[in-house]
Amino acid sequence: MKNVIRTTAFSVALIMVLLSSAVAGQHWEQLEVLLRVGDRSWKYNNAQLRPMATEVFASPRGVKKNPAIRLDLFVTKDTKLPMDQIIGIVVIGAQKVLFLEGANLAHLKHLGLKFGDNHLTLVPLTEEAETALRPVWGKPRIEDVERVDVFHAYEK
Amino acid sequence: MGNVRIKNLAMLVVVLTWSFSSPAVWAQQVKPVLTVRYGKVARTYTHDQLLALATGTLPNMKGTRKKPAIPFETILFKDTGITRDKVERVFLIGKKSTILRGNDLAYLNRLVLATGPDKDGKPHMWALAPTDEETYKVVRAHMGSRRKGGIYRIDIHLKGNVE
Repeated sequence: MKNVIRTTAFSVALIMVLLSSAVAGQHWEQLEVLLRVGDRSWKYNNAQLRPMATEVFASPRGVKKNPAIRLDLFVTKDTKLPMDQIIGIVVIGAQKVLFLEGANLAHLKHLGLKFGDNHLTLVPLTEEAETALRPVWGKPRIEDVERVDVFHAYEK
Repeated sequence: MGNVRIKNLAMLVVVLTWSFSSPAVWAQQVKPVLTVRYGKVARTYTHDQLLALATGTLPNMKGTRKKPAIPFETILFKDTGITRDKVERVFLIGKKSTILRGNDLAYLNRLVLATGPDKDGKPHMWALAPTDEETYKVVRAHMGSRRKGGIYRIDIHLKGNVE
């Protein structure tokens, strides 16, 4: 009888552990950004992204400062693409997509991926870039950046 | 006593199988596979919902099978209430990104989203495809290959949407 109770208790405990770990796994969200150039892609997690941050983005009031990754460095670091080969960049946020091309690409070095609690937001690092890109950018920022696609001249 | 143990083990196997397979199958059926986003609004579609929207077929590359196909305009306009003249750009995000704009938008009614048969119990992803050679020649510059696979999100930018 003791054995039966022990086996049953063990079974129930095992099921509970497996179910809870499965549920926890579904809700576990980690900061990940995909960089894609043609058929190739690079996936970065939080630990890989943090060391790339070379800039500091101050909030408009200046009370909060967040590390930020320069967008031009982000798209060229591992892809080894020369800047003059890049003809378009699509930044895909959870709710918004931004397409940069032509003269707007000159402002890439003045754009940054700012770290939030567990997300990245695309922000202009200078007033000049903000003013220049306002027509294509619109008001809301590109939040929760999940993917950056790069189009290059060779691909075209 | 041995019988009781076997019964317990059998019960455990049944419960474990149910707990892992059922939610997985259920999640696959109800999990959205496509999001259509315009402005602050997002509409999601499950694979079954998309299949229900398919009104046509598209032959596979060998011409041996026909795949369910949704007219692309159905996806863009049916539930959103948007009209074609208000669209400035359409972003298709899949394995690669594609942007349709300008003259490309005149060919929206000649594009379809097509899927294939389920593979290993998983629904086939959706691909954008032209329905005729003329459309293909126009959108080839953006699409590259004849079909653009793995599409999971479509963003519609409306004219005058930028603040």
